[in-house]
Amino acid sequence: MPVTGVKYDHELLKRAVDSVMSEYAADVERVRYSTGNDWADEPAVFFRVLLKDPDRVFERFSSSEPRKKPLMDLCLRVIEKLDAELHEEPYFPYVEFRTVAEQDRLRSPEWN
Amino acid sequence: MELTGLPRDLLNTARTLLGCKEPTEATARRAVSTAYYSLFHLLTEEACLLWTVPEHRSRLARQFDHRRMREASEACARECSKSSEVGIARLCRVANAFVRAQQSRHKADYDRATVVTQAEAEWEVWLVELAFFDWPEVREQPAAKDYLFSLLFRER
Repeated sequence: MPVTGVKYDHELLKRAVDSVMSEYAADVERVRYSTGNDWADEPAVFFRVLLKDPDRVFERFSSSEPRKKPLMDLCLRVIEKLDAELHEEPYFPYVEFRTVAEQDRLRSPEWN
Repeated sequence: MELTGLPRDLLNTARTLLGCKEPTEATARRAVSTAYYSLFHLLTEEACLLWTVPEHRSRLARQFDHRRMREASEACARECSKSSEVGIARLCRVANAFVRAQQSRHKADYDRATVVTQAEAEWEVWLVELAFFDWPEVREQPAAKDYLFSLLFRER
């Protein structure tokens, strides 16, 4: 049953973003978010994480061991940090990643 | 335990799509969608294996509902996030991966208002790969079996 009338704690969301930025400033250019419902009409927050170094995205791409992919590990750490900050909130945190090079090409306003 | 069969083949297909010679947004979208279905079939197969009559399993497999599976996965992830056990943390990651992969699959298959980039598809496929990596380590735990049960049956 979809949850209605959820109040988003924007102070908490901002703190979650700040905690990612303070820990991963070397790799993360910025984090934006928006709130809304997901495909199942459940409350959600959609984080957009812009990564600094596009050359690292495909680094060690051919490795068969998922844990060895450094950039993917970075993404996982970011997502786990956001999960930890928000795990008691009544909305699900979704996280998208994009590189600076991709955003330079696409110029999506919601990522600026 | 190595995961084989349709779920693994679908995940390999997602990876192949990402690594194709001329990647496009279409291959990225198909990779994301295919990765979701690999995890969907992994979990439904595993749930059906708990049913003791093999002849019933293929019919049972058709009873799964994406929305119910999302609800159950979010509930499992929330419950698991309270635990500090490593095994439970891995189960939490599998359940979270399912919710995220499902949302991404909807975006990839239906949402033309946004772009699915190669980096995003890489991340989404990797997230499912990680779930495949984690699942064999947790599948025998009672909490994992409860999770599989909850994918199909709602608490009353």
